[in-house]
Amino acid sequence: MSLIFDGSDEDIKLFLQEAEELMQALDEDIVILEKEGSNKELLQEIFRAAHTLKGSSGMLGHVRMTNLTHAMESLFDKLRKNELKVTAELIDLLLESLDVLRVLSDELITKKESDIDIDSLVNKLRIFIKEEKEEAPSSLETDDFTPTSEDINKIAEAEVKGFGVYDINLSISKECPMPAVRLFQVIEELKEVGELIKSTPSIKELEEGKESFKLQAILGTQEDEDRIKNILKSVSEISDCSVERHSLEEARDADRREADLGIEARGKSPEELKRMQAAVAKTVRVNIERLDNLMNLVGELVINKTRLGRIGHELQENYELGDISGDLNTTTALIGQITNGLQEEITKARMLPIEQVFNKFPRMVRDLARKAGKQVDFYMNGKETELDRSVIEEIGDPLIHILRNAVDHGIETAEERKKAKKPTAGKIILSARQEESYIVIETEDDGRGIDAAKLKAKGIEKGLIGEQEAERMEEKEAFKLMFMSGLSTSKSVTDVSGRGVGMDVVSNNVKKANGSVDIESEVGKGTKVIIKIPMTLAIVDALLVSLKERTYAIPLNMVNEVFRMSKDDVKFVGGDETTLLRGKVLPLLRLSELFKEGQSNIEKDDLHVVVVGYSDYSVGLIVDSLVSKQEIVIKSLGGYLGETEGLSGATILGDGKVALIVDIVSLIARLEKKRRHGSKKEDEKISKLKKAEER
Amino acid sequence: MTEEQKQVEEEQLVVFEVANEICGVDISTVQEIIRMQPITEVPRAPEFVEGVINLRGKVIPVIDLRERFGFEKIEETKSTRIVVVEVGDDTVGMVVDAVAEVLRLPATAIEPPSPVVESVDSEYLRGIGKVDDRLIILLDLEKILSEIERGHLKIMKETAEA
Repeated sequence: MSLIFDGSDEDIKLFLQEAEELMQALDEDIVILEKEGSNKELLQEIFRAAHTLKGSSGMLGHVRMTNLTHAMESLFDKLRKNELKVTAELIDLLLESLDVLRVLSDELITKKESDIDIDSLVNKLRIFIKEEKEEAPSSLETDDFTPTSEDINKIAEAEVKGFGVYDINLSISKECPMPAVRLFQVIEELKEVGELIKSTPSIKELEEGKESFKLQAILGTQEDEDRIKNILKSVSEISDCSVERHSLEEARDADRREADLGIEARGKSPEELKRMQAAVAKTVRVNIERLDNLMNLVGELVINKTRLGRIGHELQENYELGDISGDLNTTTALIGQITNGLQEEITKARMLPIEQVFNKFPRMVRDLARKAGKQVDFYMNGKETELDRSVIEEIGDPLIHILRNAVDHGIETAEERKKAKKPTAGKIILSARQEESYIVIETEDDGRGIDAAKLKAKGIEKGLIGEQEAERMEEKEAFKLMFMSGLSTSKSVTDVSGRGVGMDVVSNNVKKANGSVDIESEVGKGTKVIIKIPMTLAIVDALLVSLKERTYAIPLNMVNEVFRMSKDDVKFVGGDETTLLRGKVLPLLRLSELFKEGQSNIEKDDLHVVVVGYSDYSVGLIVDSLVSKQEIVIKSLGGYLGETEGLSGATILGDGKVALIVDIVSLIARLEKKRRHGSKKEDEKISKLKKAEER
Repeated sequence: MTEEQKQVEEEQLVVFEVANEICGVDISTVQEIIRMQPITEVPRAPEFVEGVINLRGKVIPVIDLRERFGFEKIEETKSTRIVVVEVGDDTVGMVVDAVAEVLRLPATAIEPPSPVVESVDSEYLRGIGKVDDRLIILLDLEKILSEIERGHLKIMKETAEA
């Protein structure tokens, strides 16, 4: 079924933006609510969010959404008034409702009605509302007679017209055979003298045959109280009636909730208010594409700044220019400063607080813990840490997997924890902080920890490593096995983790963002996963090296050190070139061989080695010469060449030439695979020999 | 030519030479034509991909059409040009011997590919255009370029298996 909504596409777009923010806020707040059930401010905020959602979905004519938000709002109202207690079941239901709301808000995009069932959910919410109502002392009169926002508008209108607004309560004598007729008569009489704003039962209900001995009404009229009373008394069989001036107290209260900024705005000095408005006006939403374009342009500028510097340098070297040369240098330096400033600003503009990713986690951890029947306290630090937008996109999935693992496999059940003399509730701490140009994200749990020996055994069983290799393997290296696909140590497979697909996503995504992952763990104490990623992806420091006539760029964050060695120091291990660096074996790789550039440097006695390292594995790349250290702008090689092995992109140098960027991550991954493969073969050989001997 | 004929659908082509063959591509796909530039070779890239160039800050791959069609490679001359075309989301440069002209060709003068032209693999052809007594080979860019991708994938696979 297709849906038609009131309001333009622009309205819907605005609504979706607002709704997304509100639902995200609700998501977080409801999870907090579970712990702080009586936090008045929190409840007020939640109520306001639900109320706003109800209002704006109503404006768009999204009936199902309005119905659901209305039910939620009523529930929050009960909570707010302390007539209802927060329970885990209630939170479950609210979170479920929130999920459904998301589906409903998607309907605004698809314009199709989803087959999600609203009514049963609304009923469930109603049950909660009703259940508690019986326990709580409820006031009989205000039952369902709270004025809606529409009524409030009408009341306000009536007041503007100079009408007095009255609350009318009356009862029909019980002996009356047809009370509806009498009530009908009363309503007709009231309409004669003024404007009937609201009545329960309404005319429509009466027409439909609703029986009632009571009437509640709000009337806007120019007559006074006595006159109204007289009119009412003129109708027979009325046993009791009251007419009071309508108290706008409650209505105003509701009205206040309606106004979004209202609550904060009221009670503040005009100056403060002005400042608040100014703060709002000072932010603009910018299309992400625009920021990307801006970043590209700044990238160009950085390239040309470098080029300008070179030209100036060359001029100074080769020509007698006198003063003008100094001028040129000063200007170039100045442009350099401006460019740096500009680059920094734009980089900052692209930064988002990691909050964007973190915010969905409390809810997720809570759900996971409940599903697994575990108790988990989840804490987050450093939500305000900022990261480039592109990095944020990469980091979400890995963190989900790490947290899932922590809840599913890390944290023990309450009984197990008791036995281990730990607090019954497990603890997971997610934190982010900046370290130089890196962001470090740590996930720490106090669960059962990882057993390195078990991991190794599993690795051997799955054929990922050889026995010999396993023996040699240090603990830290063994933890890394977790990142290989096809390895899972937990016996239980839940629907979210344990299938051994999660952790390789972690390492892949992090590598994609030029980052690294480390694991620290102690059996019985807990596990800490440390992700380190650069803040931005677009501009990096690089070491430029040359091979024959060609220049290649190696991201500086991958370079551990650079040294020179004599040809004689190259040792051969199983046909592969290696050398000893401070007593440790360092595998060597000729970049020229890798790139089939011909073996120009083989005769040279003096070899330049760039030690590149990813994680704990490093390799020495032999290059012809080192050129310089430079800031480079990473450019894609385009669709046709984008996936070329060994290369992660290209950059443009100061002289306008293109330099290719060496993909250290994939290079090392390949070498590591080869090494593992090799040692497995070795192991096989050894075991074959052993068997032969036994015979 | 009468008015009526002018109304007939026509194509505007950029016409260039590759190894004595006259080729044409639809003008709307051509972004620009530039002089030969230093090309940075890309190791491990498919053979017919000459390398990449810096096109005002954008890095684009360049293919040699001579090599693409199996002709002998020649040293660049004064007339060598790079025709920069946009196909789909990608921008690719094609090295050609010379760029001749821009031509309007009525649709009626275009024939489907036939075995007449043997020098260029007929699968890269969109058709043959006839102007006076000249034959213009209309190139199917998408095919030529998608072949690059396929060739590329093949090479990748080979290296992976090796």
